[in-house]
Amino acid sequence: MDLMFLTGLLASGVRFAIPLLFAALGETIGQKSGVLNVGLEGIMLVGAFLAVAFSVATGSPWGGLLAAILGGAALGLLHGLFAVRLKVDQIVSGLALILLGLGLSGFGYRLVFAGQPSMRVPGFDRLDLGVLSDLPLLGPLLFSHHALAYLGILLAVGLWWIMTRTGLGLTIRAVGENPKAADSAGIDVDKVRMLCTIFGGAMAGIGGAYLSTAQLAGFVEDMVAGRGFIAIACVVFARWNPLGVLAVALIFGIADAAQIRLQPFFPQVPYQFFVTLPYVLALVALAGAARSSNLPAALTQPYRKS
Amino acid sequence: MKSSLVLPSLDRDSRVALLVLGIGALALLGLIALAGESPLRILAILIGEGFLNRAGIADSLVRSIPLTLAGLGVVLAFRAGVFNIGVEGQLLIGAALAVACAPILSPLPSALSLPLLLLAGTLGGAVWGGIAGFLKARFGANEIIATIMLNYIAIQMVSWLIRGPLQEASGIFPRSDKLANSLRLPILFDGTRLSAGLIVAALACVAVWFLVARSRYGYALTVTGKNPDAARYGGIRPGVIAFSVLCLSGALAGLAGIVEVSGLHGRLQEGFVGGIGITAIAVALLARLNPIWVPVAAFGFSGLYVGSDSVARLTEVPFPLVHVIEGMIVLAFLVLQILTMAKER
Amino acid sequence: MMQTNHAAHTTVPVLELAHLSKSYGEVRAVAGLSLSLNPGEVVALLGENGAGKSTVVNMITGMTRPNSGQIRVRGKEVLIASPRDALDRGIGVVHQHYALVGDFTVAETLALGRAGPGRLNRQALHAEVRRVAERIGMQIEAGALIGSLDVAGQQRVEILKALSREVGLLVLDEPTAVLSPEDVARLFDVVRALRADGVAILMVTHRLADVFAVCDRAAVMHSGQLVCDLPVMDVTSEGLISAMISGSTDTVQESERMPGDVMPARQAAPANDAPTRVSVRDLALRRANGSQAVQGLSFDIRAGEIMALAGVDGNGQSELVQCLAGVNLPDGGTAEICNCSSDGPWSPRVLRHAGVAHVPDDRRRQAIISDLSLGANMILSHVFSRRYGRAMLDWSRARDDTSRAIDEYDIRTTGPDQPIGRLSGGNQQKLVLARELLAGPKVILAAHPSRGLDIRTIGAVQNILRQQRDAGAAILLVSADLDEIRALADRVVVLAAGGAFGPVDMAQTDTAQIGAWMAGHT
Repeated sequence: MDLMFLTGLLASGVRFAIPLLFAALGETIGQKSGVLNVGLEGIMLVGAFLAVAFSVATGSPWGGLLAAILGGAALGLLHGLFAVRLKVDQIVSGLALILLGLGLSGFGYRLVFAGQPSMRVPGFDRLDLGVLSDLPLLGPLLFSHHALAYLGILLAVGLWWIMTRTGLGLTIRAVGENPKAADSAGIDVDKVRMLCTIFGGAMAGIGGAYLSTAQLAGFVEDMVAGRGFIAIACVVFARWNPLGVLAVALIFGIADAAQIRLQPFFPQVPYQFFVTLPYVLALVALAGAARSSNLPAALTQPYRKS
Repeated sequence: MKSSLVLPSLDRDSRVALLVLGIGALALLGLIALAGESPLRILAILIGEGFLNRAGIADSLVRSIPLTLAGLGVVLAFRAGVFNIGVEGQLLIGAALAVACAPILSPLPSALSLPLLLLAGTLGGAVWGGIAGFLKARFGANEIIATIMLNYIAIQMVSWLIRGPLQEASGIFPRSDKLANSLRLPILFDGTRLSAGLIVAALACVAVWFLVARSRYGYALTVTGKNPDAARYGGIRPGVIAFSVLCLSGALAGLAGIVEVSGLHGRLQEGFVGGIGITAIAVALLARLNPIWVPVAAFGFSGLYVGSDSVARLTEVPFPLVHVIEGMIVLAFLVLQILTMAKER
Repeated sequence: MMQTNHAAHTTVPVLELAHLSKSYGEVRAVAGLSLSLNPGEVVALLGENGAGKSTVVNMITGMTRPNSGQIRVRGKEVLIASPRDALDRGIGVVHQHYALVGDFTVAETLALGRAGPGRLNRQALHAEVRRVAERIGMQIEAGALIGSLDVAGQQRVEILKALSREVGLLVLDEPTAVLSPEDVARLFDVVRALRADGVAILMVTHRLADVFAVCDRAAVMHSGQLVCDLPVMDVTSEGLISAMISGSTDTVQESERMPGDVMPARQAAPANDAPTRVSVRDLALRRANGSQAVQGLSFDIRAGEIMALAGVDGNGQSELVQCLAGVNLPDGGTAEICNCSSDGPWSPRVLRHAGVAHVPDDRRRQAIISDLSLGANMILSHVFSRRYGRAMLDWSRARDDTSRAIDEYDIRTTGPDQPIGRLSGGNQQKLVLARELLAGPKVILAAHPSRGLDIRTIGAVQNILRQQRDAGAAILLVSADLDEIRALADRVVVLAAGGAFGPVDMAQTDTAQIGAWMAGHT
């Protein structure tokens, strides 16, 4: 395997990592505030579909992105209503989101695109950074991604700074660690959790949009293929640290890229074994990192006053 | 204000819950209208084809067999507070292991080979569930993620098996050979596809009910689910419970898989039970984790699927609407929970 | 800053409660309560469990809203709809269970809810902590992690938190319950400093000693009503007890007297030839977070003996009981109970089989399953004994046992099928005791068996323990309450700051000595 292969692998690893990155960053904030959303998969599906539908309708991927953000936020709001406001079991509410996401995206896809399978989707173009993008090796690896990829990396750093260095971060952490303490400090626990959950939904929507308008060009039913769940595994593996999420998402992205790029080298091994690689990795990650003291103490626990 | 006039006896939570549900129902109607159909017509087809005509009822019963078995598995796990989302994978591995064993079993007399086949399926599911159980008990790995990852791995494994070691002798389609007749569950009523799997499911219901309501193990499950610290205090080991219940839950899913193969399809093929995992969860929740209600809920959801098939065939409304309805039913279940909680308060 | 010129305010009460009432469903928690606090006044709020004290605190601090009546702050009627409202009106509170985030520093704790959403200025926050701490002569490190502080330290943070805002009234909810005598004295110094500063203090307490040590007035509640509101110099402990128990300020009625008071401590130690049931040698235990909780602990308990394990909470008592109950293994040394050794099989199941009963300190967390019936809760400790069958459960026997326990222990319930979560804490505790004693245990681990119970139930619980002792049980009684230890124990071990004092015979020591050990003095 030469250097070209390696840069190609890493560059495509970055591309595979971005949807996970967005979804996992949003989920990190949600979980830090004490809300688990196992419905990311459904939200990403809706985001992926809306992005394609509205990219086609508006003729711009940014229009699609906006629709995906709004759709994701709306599903986040729904989860918040049940899990935060009405204080039902967060896992059951998340399961409902998976079903709704699966149904809504499939329904919409068949309704809107039926009979037009090879629809031309105005997807995201890669940024052309001129000389930088033309650099050998470094160009394809660092300077030829979609704008969303750079945004995701900036977000990871920004969210890390917010969570550790600002009053807002303090508030979110308190709400997820000890909601009673936050309440007695005059913080509206449910409001903070609600906003974090909506934010998480919007981020999962972006992840889905990237999947259908930047990584691939088009929507296929059930195209998220478990990435919503892998994103949750990323959060656990990264120990609820946004910078860690960046690293872990890259590992998963590279694993995903590797399984595709390694297949031709081992024709005697059935391709299905390569496809399972990221899933096996997620299992190993879970087993290795599950017992962490960084787990928000009040995760999945609804807050009731006194 | 307005809602307080309409629903004067409800507290705020209940009103919010009902309001959300109402908006959801309206959105559902909106979706149907978007497809250019009248909601009434869709409803008529859905209920008429799924629940009211003979063929529909028979089809719904056929579908409800694996759903009941899988739903029972989910009930056990959820009662112990273990979220087994991996029913689909356990079901696939169970069916695959049993089909792999078929050549060894087929020479045996049918009275022996068929039970052994079902046992092999049960075992396969138990092992697949047990992996997640081991990861949870030993490393504290979250079982939701673990079981879902195992689902994807199982799907790939089956995909490989039916293109490799288990592919039919003619090697044309990605599917296994048909099971020998001695390994097929007999059809109960001529002219239907309803197999003796129905009896298996009914027996499983009774067994699971007995386990849950009468046995010490069932008590241990419930206590662990409701308060793991109290369980530990009473001498129950939550790790052991998590592991064993995932094995048991997987066993029921595996049984569902081989019953579906032996009773209906006759062979292992791709996507023969797509999406059953999440529906089984909806079934278990709707049955309020009570094994007695599982077959009822399973029949209801099966009818919904059969009806939705007809809807997709006869109208412009696409099939995935069924998932939206399922999601709404889960939300409705939550709303019901809120209403009863408000009443008890 | 808060009022330094409190002379100007002396005529206007900081807080006035007028005809305040609050009901939860059918239950009337507080009925027509009126009370006022002047600046620089320390008022004790006393009452049995369930008398309505917590509801009053919750209404003042915005955790719940009254059904009727008014709350006036400095003469102005206000609506306190949320904790934030209370803070904005200058009402601070230190709850019994501290509301702190373990992985925050002291400075971050103070910043929570006060700093804006933007960047935190660490230097300014640290300076602020020092400023507030100095005002009341308190020592605390601004950068310390909350999780690394002991109970007293966390309480100081709670007080600082309240004082970092402009506070005219400070509510202290059972502030002395978990403190060592020395830390209580330090707390009272802070209370006096605040009083001198013009802050009004409402101290909810169940310890009469607190009232006479630092309070100016004593207000007693009984079944939701204020039955006594007098200057401390005008009341006696007998009068206060009477008011708490019967709601009257007349002399104490004989029948209402606390059973624990009637029965004197047993003087004679158990026979020397009684078999040793519990034996602990050089035991070391760690906390969940890995820190050393207990080291080099050795003691024996014989049949028919009550050994008290005294000490302020958090000094390893909980770890010791969890270890002796089989939940955790020791990190060093050995424990032996009834022929079981921690070097061999050691689990709750093994130890229960050997005859160990366990009344844990955190009842809701460990001892009951709230939404299961009394009958189902009865089974919990006997799930692996054959009492209720083996693979299949004998539910009818469980219900019979439960019905009998309801009669014997006077448990207030609608019957064995009622979910236990609907019962009051005292009645839950009685069912836990009934369950643990059902099979005639050889060893009883009783962690704070009477904490949080009303006076009458405390008496009942103590009598039950005496009966079990006389029947030959070896009892380990964990308690921080010197009165309870004096009333029950034959011998005592004190855990403090990782070390152990004793065991000594109760006859050869006094409460002052035990108190000194609890504070870490030899």
